[in-house]
Amino acid sequence: MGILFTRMFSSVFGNKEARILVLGLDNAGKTTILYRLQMGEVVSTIPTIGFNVETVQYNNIKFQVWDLGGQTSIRPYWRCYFPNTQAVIYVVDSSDTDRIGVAKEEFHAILEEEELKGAMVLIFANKQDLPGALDDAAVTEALELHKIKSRQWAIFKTCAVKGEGLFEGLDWLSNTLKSGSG
Amino acid sequence: MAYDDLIDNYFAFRNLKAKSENKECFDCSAEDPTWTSVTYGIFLCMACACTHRSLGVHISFVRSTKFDTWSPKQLRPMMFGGNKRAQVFFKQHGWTDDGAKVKAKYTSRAADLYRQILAKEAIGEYTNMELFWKHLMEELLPKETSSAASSSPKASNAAKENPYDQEQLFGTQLRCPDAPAKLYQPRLYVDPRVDLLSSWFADSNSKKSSSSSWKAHVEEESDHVARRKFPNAKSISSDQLFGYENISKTRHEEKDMWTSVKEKMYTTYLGVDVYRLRREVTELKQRLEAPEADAIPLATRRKWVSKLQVEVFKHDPSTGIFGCGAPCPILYSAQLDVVNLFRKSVGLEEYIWDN
Repeated sequence: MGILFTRMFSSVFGNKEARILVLGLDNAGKTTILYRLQMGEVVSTIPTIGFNVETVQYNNIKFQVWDLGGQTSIRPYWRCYFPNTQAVIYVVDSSDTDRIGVAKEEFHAILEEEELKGAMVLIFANKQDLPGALDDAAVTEALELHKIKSRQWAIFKTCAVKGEGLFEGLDWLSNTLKSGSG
Repeated sequence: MAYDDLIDNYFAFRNLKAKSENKECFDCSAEDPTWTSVTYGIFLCMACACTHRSLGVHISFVRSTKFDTWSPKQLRPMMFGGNKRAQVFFKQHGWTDDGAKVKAKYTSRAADLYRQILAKEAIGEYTNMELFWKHLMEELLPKETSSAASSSPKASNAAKENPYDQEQLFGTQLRCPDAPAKLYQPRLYVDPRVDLLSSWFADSNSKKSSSSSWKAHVEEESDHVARRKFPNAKSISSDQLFGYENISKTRHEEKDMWTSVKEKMYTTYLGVDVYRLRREVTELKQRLEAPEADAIPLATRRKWVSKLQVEVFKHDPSTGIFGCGAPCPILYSAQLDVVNLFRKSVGLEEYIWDN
């Protein structure tokens, strides 16, 4: 019965695929998040010059997650990856208060992109374990999330090295993807 | 763009990296470090930069000299610090070059102290942006003492006749106001943006030749240069200062010369053989579009493209195609093709370039 139910369930919702971009400033924790999601482990990362791509199966959705490098001169090339993206995960280093303004500007520049018009946005206020980290409310304010009215978004407090908050975010993403474009 | 006052990396690090102290990684002595910790003004190798990144920005703020753009504020700790000064400081406080205890070293009281000292100096007393830029230029311009060089006011005339003669083009001396004995002589070519800039300063120097105090001297000069070039400007950005557009628009006389210098440098743009890169891209393109290409595993094809993509883009990190466009058309066309090759290899449609 349980198996039958699961089968029926997955025939309605299952085998969905979603293309996800993980974006954010350099050293925000994008690669750590990607591999934490995929393997459940903390890997020691090097700065991503280029990209990492992995498939993460979660809640009957096959997420194709693209983690793009965050160094200043690489950011213009994010655009190459924008088409056919269902969701953007924007990662912020919550302890980097000096550059939260830059993070905001990059974020809003992404939102204005034509090719990402339909993409939903999940924000990870990462590195909550570090001293002086801004909480989700403060990051919401700093990124001016209240200005985003034409698309669905959510923000989660995360700590990638401890694995906190990441799957809560993916839960939101999968629920929104399922309820959204059917 | 999201950033004000960005400095060209090549320009910014030309002198800093030339110092022997900065030719080894601060933590492990590996050669040719291309990463930095702005917090301590030190140069690091990739591996040590990774360790620093993991400590968090409150301990160490890591940036690449290749893949990041730099603002004056970030650059100044690099100018005031450097590997040697940090090494001396850490040694005084009982930290040797032992690379094993990195975390302990940078979370120590000594590290905290050095962080504060450097931050204080780097912020400095510069409230006037013009003054700030002026000083920065002097830190970064090529420094060479030369007794043979002499200033020649006929420079602009001669330049027209022989655009490749550096001595005639940019031959006037630059003098650092706070060190009158030191002569600043632009080196035989490289980035014409730098040298044009130095010729501006040379210009203003020859008119206001001597002044008793550094501050007065600088203010007169920065008034002279900056106000003439940017009347009513509240601040001056590097785009304005180095922008090709502005230079050619405001100085018609130099435009021809500028074009020829630019043409000349295109065979080797910033020391890169751009024709070789262009050829490699074309070869790869032909190879991938050939009918037998399907037999090659997709992963291999992707690897080829990625490898060449890195090669084509790494030399010109500060100007993206999407921003202002790579200033060298040959490199630009190679970049354009390699991006589309890449997009094809991952199943994306070709990108149409709108400029």
